[in-house]
Amino acid sequence: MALRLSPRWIREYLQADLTTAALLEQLNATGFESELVDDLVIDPSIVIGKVVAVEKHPNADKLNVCQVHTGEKTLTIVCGCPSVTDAEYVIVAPIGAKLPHLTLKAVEIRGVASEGMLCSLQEIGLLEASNGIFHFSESVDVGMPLVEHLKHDSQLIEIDITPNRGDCLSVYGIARDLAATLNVGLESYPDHHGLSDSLERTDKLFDVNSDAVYTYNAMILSIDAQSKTPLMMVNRLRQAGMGCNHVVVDILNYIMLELGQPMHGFDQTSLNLPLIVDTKEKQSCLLLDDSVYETRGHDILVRDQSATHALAGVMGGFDSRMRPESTEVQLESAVFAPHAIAKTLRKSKLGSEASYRYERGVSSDLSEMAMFYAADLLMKHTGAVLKAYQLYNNVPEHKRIKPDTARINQCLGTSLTNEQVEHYLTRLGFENDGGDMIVPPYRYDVSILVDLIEEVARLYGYDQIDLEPMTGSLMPRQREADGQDACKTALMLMGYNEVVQFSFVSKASTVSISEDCKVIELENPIHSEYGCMRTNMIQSLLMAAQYNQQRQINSLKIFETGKVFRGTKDGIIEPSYVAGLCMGTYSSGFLNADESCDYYHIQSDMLTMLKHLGLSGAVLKRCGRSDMHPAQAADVYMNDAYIGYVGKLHPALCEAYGLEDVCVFNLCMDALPQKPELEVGMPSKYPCISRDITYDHKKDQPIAEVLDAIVSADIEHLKHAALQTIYELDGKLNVTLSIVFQSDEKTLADKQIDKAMDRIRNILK
Amino acid sequence: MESLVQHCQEALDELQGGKSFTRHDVDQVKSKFLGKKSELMQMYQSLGQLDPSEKKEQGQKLNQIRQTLNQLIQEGYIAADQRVLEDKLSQSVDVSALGRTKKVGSIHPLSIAYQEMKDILTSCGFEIASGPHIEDDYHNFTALNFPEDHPARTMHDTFYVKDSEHLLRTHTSTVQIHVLNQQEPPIRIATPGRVYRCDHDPTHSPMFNQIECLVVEENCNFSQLKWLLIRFCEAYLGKKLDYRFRPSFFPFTEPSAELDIVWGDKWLELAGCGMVHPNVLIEAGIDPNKYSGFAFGIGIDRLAMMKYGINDLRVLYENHIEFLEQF
Repeated sequence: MALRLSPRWIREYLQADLTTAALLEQLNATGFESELVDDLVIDPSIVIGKVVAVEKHPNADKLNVCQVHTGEKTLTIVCGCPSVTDAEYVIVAPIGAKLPHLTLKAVEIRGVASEGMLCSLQEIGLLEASNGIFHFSESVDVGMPLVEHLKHDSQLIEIDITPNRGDCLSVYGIARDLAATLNVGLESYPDHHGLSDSLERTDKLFDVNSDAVYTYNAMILSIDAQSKTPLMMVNRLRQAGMGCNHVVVDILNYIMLELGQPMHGFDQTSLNLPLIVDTKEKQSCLLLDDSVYETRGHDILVRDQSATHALAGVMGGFDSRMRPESTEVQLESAVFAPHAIAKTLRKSKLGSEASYRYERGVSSDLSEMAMFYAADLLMKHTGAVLKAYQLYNNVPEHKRIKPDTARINQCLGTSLTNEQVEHYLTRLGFENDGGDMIVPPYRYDVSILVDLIEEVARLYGYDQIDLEPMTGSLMPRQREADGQDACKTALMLMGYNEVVQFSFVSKASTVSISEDCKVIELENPIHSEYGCMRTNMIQSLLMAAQYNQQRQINSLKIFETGKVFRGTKDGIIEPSYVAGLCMGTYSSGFLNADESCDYYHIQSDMLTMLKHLGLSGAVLKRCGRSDMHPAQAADVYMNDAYIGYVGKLHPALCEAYGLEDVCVFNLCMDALPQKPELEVGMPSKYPCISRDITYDHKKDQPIAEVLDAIVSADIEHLKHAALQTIYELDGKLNVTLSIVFQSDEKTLADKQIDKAMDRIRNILK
Repeated sequence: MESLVQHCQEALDELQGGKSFTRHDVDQVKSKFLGKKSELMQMYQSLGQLDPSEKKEQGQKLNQIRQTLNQLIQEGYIAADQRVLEDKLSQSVDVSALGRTKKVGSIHPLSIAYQEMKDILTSCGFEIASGPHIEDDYHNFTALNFPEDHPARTMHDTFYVKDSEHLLRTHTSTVQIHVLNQQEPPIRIATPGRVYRCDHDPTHSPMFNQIECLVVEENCNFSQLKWLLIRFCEAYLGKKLDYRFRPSFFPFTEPSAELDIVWGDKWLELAGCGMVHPNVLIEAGIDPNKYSGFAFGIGIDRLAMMKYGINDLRVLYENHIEFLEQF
């Protein structure tokens, strides 16, 4: 969470005069990512005025002419707000004053010159909506600029507080850390404990029955229900993004912002004292956010015999909330164990400003002090009459850590002295007790030596730590061929563009291109098109093809390497694949034939890629996948193991994707055989002899089988046999093979060749 | 007899005037005038019937003619070669026209970045390690010192797998856990790969690429971490960098830091790093009193975007061919 705080408020606690820029820089340098954000600009010419006379406008029924004293002058102002007749202290914008949406000019309203405007909070920009001009209820100085009265900053510091620093979720907490890191003085907590002197201390307000409650304090008091929240607090709550509520709630929220202690105000008439603070499951509670919550065994409750009044540290109950007419109040100022609140939050998905602080740790030394501070503010602003209070304390013992300077230096690569270490830690509020450092109660994040090391490093300054080159033994490494890199290079040279698609695809695509596995679905996908983990690379490649085709790119060659994800009975597997896709024109332009990509293109590209990996001898057999063309796709085998498939995508599937003919290959990298050891042969010194032979080919017989039969027939001096052409004539296939002979020992005689060719002819019969 | 020379000259002249004029044509003239059945040869054969005195004189004459014819023929050959050469040279193409073009494809910029980073780190002796993308809570959080229910877990917007205990890894630090559980220190590894967070806007992609380095050995320290991280970034970006280290928080490192560098005219957050938290080492069965560790993690996407001046992260995953073809 980012905290938005007024720099002026922070400065109130620092015994040093620092510019906002200096505060910002220091925060950033000490672990708090911060930036300046613009807030409302309040023109300093807008002042607090006192209405001294109100007369009816001579020419308008609904207008009044007011005399408003602004310190030095008395202004004549025409005002249309009916409440002005009761007004005493008001906000005055004189001529020339700039408001968010207008600049005031001298005007004459129905014959009376008006020298300014009485403002509503909406007109100043302090509220989204307001009803009529604002009447101050707090004490004010007439003539004081509003911006001063509010102690307003037009720029705020937005501070990103990491989850470990719960102690800094307040103005005081930030000021305290700044004071430590800047080595300047810090004002102490507001001290109103004197109020307890004349106040009854009781034990009738509550009973605590849970170890997860570190402190629980309560006070009962009565207030004037007509009271209003002082404008200065309204503004600071607004700046923190917190909105206004009941005056008691506002004042408690204000203290939470200032000191970090969350508090709750109950309407005491709704309670059946004493309250019970404990854990109890299966209690139903209507919360402030209007939701009904069923409690679980780990939730801490504030309840009485008849009802649950709060999910402690998280949210108050609806029925005991502060209401406009409430006059009897019971304050709660407590500290709960962070882990207990965190557990409630994780399981319930609830959350509030209070719970955010509790789960990160609220200092146990705050709660009593904050309650008396609240009492003081409530007396000032709501005419509160204090009645009684009760305290409860079960704070865990303070942690102690032995600072080991040698370990600190070893870890940081520094050469700090014991004195330096102690000096830094003392500045941070640690106390030396016989060589141990006692951790201050607000530092929930510090419990072992490395936590101290980080604090020492932070105060020493990360940038003060030198660079130290690493050393190591020199170890020549076995060169390892990276199959993926070799694939990428080969495919790139053949004109393929590598794509990197998300690993997620739509559920529909896992159905149309299906694998024999459980599809892994996401609980919380960003989009339903990305609801499942891909089970097949072609699912991803088709998305990329579609994306480009929708952008008028109809010819492309793309590939991707990466993982697919499949659920099997033995768990989730993540095999690696390389897959390619081509569609549209395969080659075109001057002196190139306009060829559309076909089975043989993609087959040749795939085999070339394999050759680049040092693999040859792939065997291609008719492929039976339902997403592939039934007669133009092959399964690929190497050393009798299935490694993938190649060919044309099923036309119906292309159609479904809105694509023309698409050819793909998809090979499992994990299934590829090891690159065989290279057997290097010497070229023959004798000439080779080639012969072509044409024969009638049986239509359903794969040509690869024929060639295989010739090669494996042990024909002397046969160097290789290859397919030359296929002619189809009157439904018959005429196939021409080219046969090459060569000997390593002699020039071959025609007779020998003729004999060999006879054998081949026999095979072809 | 002299007419032989003249006829030969005429035959050759005729050839030269014709369309085709090759050595083969000259061969035919040669055979006609100097071949076995040529007039000259017949004259040589009839020498025997002459008187010895005439024979000598006639013989000398024939030799002279033969020499002249031979010379003519040789000249013919030279002329024929010349003509063939001229023919070849006269065949011209428009060298400016591009023909029989072949498109070369491209490697994705993220792959290029990954490869370059891998090269830098392996040259420093780091092993490359990888692990599964679909992980369990233990490897992604618990073993990395994110206690159960701790608010630090909310720092990562995690994708969960439906109806299971699994999740998509939110960082490649998970691989550290696999390696630490399998290998004994000293360990120097780099773990690149895809990671997933439930977030999508111009600066966040639900999937992105990260590379992490982990060192676990005796006496390694924060100063060395700073040195390695800076030297790595400088090596990849190819220039000296102005930088600063800021304290930060990651559950699995302490002290933790973030590295900012000056890029253009402002500070830019580049990497997270820190000394491996002793709880992580203990969880992996490594004695934190004997060994210490450090780790840093960098977004490959971020670094590649900086290098290529790309502003919108999404373009990396849209795979528009016109974008890809530039690499």
